[in-house]
Amino acid sequence: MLSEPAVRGDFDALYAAQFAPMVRLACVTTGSVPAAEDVVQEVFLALLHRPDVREPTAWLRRAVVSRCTSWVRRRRLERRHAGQPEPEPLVPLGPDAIAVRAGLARLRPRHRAAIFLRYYLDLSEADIADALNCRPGTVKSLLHRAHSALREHLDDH
Amino acid sequence: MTTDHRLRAAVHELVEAIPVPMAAPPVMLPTPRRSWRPVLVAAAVVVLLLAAGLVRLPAAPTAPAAGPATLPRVFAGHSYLTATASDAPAGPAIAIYGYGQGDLPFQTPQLIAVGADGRTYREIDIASKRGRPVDAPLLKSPAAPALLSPDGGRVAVADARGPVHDVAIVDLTTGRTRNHPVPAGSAVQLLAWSPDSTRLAYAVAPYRADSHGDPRVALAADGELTLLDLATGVTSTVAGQRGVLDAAFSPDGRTLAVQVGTELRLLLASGGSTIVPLPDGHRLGGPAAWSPDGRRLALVRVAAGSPSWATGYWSPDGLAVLDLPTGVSTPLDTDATTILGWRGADLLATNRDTIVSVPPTGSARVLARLQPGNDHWIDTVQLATARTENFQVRDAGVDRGPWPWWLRVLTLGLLLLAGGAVLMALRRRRVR
Repeated sequence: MLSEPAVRGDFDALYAAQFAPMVRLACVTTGSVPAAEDVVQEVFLALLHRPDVREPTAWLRRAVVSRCTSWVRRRRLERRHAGQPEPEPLVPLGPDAIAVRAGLARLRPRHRAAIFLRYYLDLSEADIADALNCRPGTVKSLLHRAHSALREHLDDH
Repeated sequence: MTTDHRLRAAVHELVEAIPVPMAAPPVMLPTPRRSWRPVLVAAAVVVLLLAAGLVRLPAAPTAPAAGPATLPRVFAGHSYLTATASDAPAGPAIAIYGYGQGDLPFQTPQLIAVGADGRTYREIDIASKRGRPVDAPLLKSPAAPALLSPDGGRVAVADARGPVHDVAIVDLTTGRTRNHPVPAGSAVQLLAWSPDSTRLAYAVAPYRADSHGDPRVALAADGELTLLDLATGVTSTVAGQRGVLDAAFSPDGRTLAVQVGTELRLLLASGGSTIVPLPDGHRLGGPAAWSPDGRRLALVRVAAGSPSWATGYWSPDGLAVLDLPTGVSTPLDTDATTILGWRGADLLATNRDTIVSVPPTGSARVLARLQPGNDHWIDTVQLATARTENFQVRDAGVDRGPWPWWLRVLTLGLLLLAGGAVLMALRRRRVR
């Protein structure tokens, strides 16, 4: 629990440990590094105002996924009206990573987040359900669908 | 390598390739402490304003008892915030006027007294309470029948709800009401005050259930002329005068003109009586009909085709003045149909929208206007006839007096709630 007396020290330690994973989670979900950084900063700032949070890491994941989903929805609307193309990849990658990235781009934000939480953080279905604020059964369904889509992309390469 | 492994490796490669910028952890800026001062100041101002409205009771009588009275150029419109004469008496009145009930249930009838200063308004609450309940076929319903004394100091109030048990005399200076009993279950019509405001003439008859609260049906047949002496509280019946529906005292108070059927009689204090010939289709014009010089009587012209006088119903069609010494009647040029009093040679009258001054010859001049408002209708208008000779007409403003009790209770409740909220807020702040 991030209690008030220990706020600053605990918070700094939590920030050092979780900033990068949260930015990555946000980036996989949104597809944008600047947006991911903004979202994660906002979420950490919000956590500072929530001394009642008992499990800050889980709370951070939930908040990041929730805000990223909202960001993607808003962004989609903006793109639809502005007619902007999808952003180009930033870093050179191997063929499988390129395939996965292409596959992720076709998935919904919650599917992307589920893939990240499962294959990068190796979280259990229960923890993924907690991060996505849904039931474990829904996580199974999300992962199955995302996995099938990504496998198709991998098989194509 | 299985697909699952390939996927896991690809995800790792993809995620590790994401450039994570190093950023300093966010810092919580100290939020400015919320100040309660503006809230407390605003609450104090509201409390002061509301308290000012509450502590204005009871108001001292403000209307001058003597000296020239003022008639407002425009009478105040209907309002539920007018103080009552019993709660906050304001002294003698120059006029009373009544609102009949509107089309909605909460639009209750009201009888209002206008102070002799022309600006204080008070509801004569007993007349409002005794108003006729809404009758489905009629929908509209007036306040109880009332009669303002010539000096403006008292109002006699009958009852429009059914059988009458007493005549209430409201003292506008003290706010007190004195009830003078009439034979149980009567129909009563208030007829006229004596010029010195000490005696009241009224007609009384057994109540008839088919009259719908209108006493004229019973009185036209059996109405017995009765005189109430307010100094002693004694009533006396004038023998041989049945079916009286209108009356007017002479300026010296020694003669009473009464209309019985189509006949106008002058009843003398000595006990004798004379009959005054009336022009065709005319009748006595009510309690203010006799001129201050005692030479003239104001008459009402009855519309052709009006229902029989014997039933007590007729429609007024115009006004005329009868010169008593010569017996000559002169029609007046006005559309007013209710006589209010005299101002020199001019007759004061109303059509319930305006109060007009009608010269013996020439057109009527508008003195004052009434405003029905709130979907109500003006039911009655009367003037204090002893104060009309030298009154002035001007815009006098409106003073409705302290708030009625229900508004005071409501305000007090709101004040207590607001006070409680402020206390709770302060307490919470202290705990923090």
